[in-house]
Amino acid sequence: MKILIADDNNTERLVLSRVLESIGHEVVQAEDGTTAISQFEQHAPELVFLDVLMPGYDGYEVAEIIIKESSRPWFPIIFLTSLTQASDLAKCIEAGGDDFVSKPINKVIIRAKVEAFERIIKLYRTVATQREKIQFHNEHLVQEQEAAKKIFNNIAHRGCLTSQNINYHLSPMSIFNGDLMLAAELPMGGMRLMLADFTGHGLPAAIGAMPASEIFYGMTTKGFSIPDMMVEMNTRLYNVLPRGIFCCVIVFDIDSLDNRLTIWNAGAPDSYLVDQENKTVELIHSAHLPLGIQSPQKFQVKCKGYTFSKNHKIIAVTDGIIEADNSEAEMYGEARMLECIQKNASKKNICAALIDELEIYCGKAEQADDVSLLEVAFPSHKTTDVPVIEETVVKASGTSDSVLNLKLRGKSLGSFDPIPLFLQTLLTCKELLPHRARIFTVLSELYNNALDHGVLGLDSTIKNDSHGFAKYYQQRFDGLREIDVGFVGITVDHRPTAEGGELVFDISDSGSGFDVESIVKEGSKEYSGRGLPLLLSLCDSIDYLENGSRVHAIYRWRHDDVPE
Amino acid sequence: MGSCLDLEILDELVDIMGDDMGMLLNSYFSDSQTKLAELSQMVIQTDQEKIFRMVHALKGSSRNVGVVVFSDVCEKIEQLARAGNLTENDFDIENLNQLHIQATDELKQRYL
Repeated sequence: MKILIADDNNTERLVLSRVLESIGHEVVQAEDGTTAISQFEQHAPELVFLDVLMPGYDGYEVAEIIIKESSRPWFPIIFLTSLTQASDLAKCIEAGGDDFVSKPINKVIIRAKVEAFERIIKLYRTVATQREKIQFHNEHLVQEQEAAKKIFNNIAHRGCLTSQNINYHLSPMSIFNGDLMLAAELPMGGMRLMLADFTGHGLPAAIGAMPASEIFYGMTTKGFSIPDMMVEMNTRLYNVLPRGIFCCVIVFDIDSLDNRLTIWNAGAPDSYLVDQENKTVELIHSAHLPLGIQSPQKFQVKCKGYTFSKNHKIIAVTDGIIEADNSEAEMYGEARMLECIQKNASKKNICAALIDELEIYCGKAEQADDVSLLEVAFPSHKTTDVPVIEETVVKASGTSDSVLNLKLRGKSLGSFDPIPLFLQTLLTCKELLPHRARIFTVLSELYNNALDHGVLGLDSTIKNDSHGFAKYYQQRFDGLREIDVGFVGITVDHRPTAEGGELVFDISDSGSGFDVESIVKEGSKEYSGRGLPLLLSLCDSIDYLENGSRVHAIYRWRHDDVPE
Repeated sequence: MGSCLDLEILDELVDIMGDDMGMLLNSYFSDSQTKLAELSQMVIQTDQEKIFRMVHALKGSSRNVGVVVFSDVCEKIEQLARAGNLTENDFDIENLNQLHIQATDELKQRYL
């Protein structure tokens, strides 16, 4: 070890040097304070002996200067002193010294002290090396996470979350967020949104979020209903998530054709359905365990239906906001949250008002969980004007000349949604890709009319009063659960024509039909309840046969159809 | 006549320095003589601080080589000078020179 001795007394320096050299150390000497500083800079000693009283800078000053100027790792300073007063000795330590030895020099004491400091220096070096390693690994880890985050963000992208009818707040606790917020437009207009909160946050939560996101966007585009999508998502998460990690979720569709909100809350805090006109707030409670807990055999999704118009807003939150603490470790809580929403019910941006209030409430308390807030108003789509979507078109491919035929009977009517199947098969004809939304709309309106009004005999006028949708939806749910007779037959005949092609839909049901004459008459409540204005605007012809229990619709498309 | 040296300290020094004991003592002789000469030029009225530093150094280096009787006298002067209470009576250069010569003679006799 290299040791600096600064002492103006020749004999003392000689004796100390000899003691240190005899136990194998290399000694650098300085006979005054100024030389001590320059020797320190030049030789970088690992241990320093400083005499207190020296000409030029004294020992205290030298200690202060070399500690302040040095960028080197820690080195011990031992003062040599013949002073014996306690205050003089204390000053050695105050000046930055680590120890002192009294003169005259005692060989045994010097050796013992140097050995003790050698051990401490080694410990410091080990710590420094480990710290460098940790720092290196940490930087590496952060780089990897940044790269992974890019991939993650591509998969769990925000979809149409930036639409004008949406306000949201997402505050990430770490690189990845344990909260997932997704938004997609429904094939027939309207929107589907999902707010999911995985237990924990960071990487484990983010990994679970990836399949959830893929399923959300994949199945929404293909026209699957919320129950079908959530069954798929639960099955996947049940298989991939370890015990103890699960996913609370709120998912809802806003159907802008029917002014309907279809919502399912599984393990998340209450959602808030705000009526801005009447200034009322309705709570939508959790009706199910979170995803990833229940086996696919036991898993069942029962959505709730509400009327949702331009006067409504739906607010979904994760528990981060409710459990946010103030400086007294008291939670924000659901009561304060509801009060704040009621107070701001008519505001355009309730989300911002909530976040402002939360910031004031929490003050300087540290954020412990992800805080996510989603506020959605009625989407501003033109409901009778479903767009032709721009996609690359390949000519005469897939099912461009084909007949698809499916008949669902009894219980199958309640357990299988045929729309995605038809849509997927028809869309193998790539020329139809620009017409995806229109075809979806025609098919699902025709099928749902056959099922709801034909087989189940539901009265569409129920939907007209304010709580009608909840009632209608409940009747439909009960009907589908109990159904064991009846049928719906679907035939889609796709034929090429000179200009492009035509899809002939033939849907028949086991119902007793209806008074076609009066219902098809424009202006009747049944007329709009069955989506007829929309169907007429999309199809070239619609004919009701067999007393209304069978409908025949033709949708024509042309090669030169361009996106609007 | 008893010794004016601390022989225990000197034994340890011989142990540490070995063949270099002579070099160490010669270094002490020349250093302390220079300091004594400087000290004899100092005036109590104006140089109390300088005197303090000088006798402090002499005390330290002398005790280091076992010159304890001389060192103890230096320490008394040091304490008085530090407090600013040094008087002519206590600052007896002649006596210091005498004690120093006595010690160096004994050191030379024993170790050189």
